[in-house]
Amino acid sequence: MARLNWTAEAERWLRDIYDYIAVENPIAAAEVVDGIYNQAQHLARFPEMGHRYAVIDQEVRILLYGHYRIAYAVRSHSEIDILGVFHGALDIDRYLLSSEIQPVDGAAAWQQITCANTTVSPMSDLSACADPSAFAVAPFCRTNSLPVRLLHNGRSYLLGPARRRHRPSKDRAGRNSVWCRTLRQQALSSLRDKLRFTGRQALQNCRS
Amino acid sequence: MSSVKEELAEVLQRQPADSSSEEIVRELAFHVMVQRGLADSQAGRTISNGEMGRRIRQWQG
Repeated sequence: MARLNWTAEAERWLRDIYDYIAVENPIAAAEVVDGIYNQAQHLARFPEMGHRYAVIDQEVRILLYGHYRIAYAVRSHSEIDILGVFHGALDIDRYLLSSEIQPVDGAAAWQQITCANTTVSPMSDLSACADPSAFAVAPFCRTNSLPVRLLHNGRSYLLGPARRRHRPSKDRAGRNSVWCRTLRQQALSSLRDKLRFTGRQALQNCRS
Repeated sequence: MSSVKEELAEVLQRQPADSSSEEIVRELAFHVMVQRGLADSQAGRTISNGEMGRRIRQWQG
């Protein structure tokens, strides 16, 4: 039996998948993540059941679970590291932004949060921010109906659509989350600009 | 060992001729995910399978 480990990258993707689905359907989110986790358990007995990812020199393989691709590295016959879990049908927004933080206009964002206080909850946590110019948006860029994460002074705020039921919630670190349509639209716009640049640059680099 | 540029070019070369730009970007993104995972693996930024299961249960409340 090989020992399975999960990389930080894999955990992050799995958590993103869970959060992505849970916004609309927490039960389905749990089923999908459990399914991916259970599928990976087969690797302990059959480390080579996935097909080779030949682009990389090392022994990296891909195990499928529905539309999800579980990438893993066979480090030895007794050691497997899960590298990541990828869903090909998700928005491309999330891919190239996943480990970067994109600054936004913090002052404007702050004003919009303040103006939108009828749709933002809880305000008390966010109001404690001393310097609204230091906002940044993290990796969590989603489709139109799903959340964006906002970071400020090391604290994390989850911005979601105002149309959803208004309720306080917690992010993965147990901190309060807020819902604000206008701010998340601004953040999405900023991130999409970066995506267009990054994607175009990547393609040009490969062609040159 | 291939350079990043060579690896990305290899990813591109393996795509069907009629691939859309979104499909290509998606494959590049998959490749970047694998590279990041490998970097975590080599740096020891991993958790055990049991710990992963425990964290999943925590997410689900």
